[in-house]
Amino acid sequence: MEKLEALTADAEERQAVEIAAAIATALQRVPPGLRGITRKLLGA
Amino acid sequence: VSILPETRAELLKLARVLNVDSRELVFLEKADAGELRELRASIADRLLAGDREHFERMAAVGRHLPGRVAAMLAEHALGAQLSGRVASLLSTDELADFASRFPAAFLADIATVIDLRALGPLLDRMDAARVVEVTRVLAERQDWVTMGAFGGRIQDDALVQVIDMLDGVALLRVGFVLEDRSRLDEIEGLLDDEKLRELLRAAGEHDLLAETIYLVDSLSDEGVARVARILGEFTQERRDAFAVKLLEDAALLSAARRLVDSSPSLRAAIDRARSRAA
Repeated sequence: MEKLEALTADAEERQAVEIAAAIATALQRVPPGLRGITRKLLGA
Repeated sequence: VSILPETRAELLKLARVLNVDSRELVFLEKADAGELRELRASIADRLLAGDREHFERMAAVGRHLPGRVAAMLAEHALGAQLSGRVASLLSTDELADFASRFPAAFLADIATVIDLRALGPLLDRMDAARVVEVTRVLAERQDWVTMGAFGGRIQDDALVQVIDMLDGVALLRVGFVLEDRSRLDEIEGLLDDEKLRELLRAAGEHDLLAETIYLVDSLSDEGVARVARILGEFTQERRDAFAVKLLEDAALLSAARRLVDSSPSLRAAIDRARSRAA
């Protein structure tokens, strides 16, 4: 069960990293006209 | 001792949730399939709970935008990773509205991220052509687990087209990880004899016998008898190869009991294989 807990914790960490990267990418690629809405949407 | 097919199917699904190779979960091979299913649900909940507040805010803001704008932002700004997480928190109505605005490839991307439990109800709201389109993309990616999550929920008209589109290998791989197994008899009924033959040939040629036996064992007696009949039409050589594989794995042989009982020709093949081994 320790191993399962470690795998789950890894998955959580990986997910957090992926989400942070996706948010950064989203802010970069959004068209200027939609940037304000996107910031609000992302809570960034 | 081999891994029970139902346990192996659950490990494939758990691996998908944890985003790891299923071989990393080999330490769970003795676990009960039902317990693994519960474990998968609790891990999915835990992962969904991470940053949930953040995603709920995204969903809330998205609800105030015109659907077209929200969909455009989701596809072109948020991407599948974020949109899939947000989609997991939407109601079926909201999800159906979004789904109607996305291209099939993006929907398939989202399907790989979204909490799979949200996919079933969504299917009831999607038209057949769209379901088939998304399934085609997932099949090209060989994403059997995602397909299996909704395969049992597809409505009849889409199901007929999906079955026609998939080859024997794909049908076996999806069927193996099918989440809702209550329609397996109905699905088997939609396979014509030629498709069923193709599926059984694929079992032998692609080392998918365990997957096949697990599926056959979930069928009604009539369904099993039909498989036995098709198997009876195969060459003796092909049945002998099946028999050898079954004898190599006691758990598999046990799972195949109903099929063996229904198929004198397979029983004879097993007897021949036993005689040769003795």
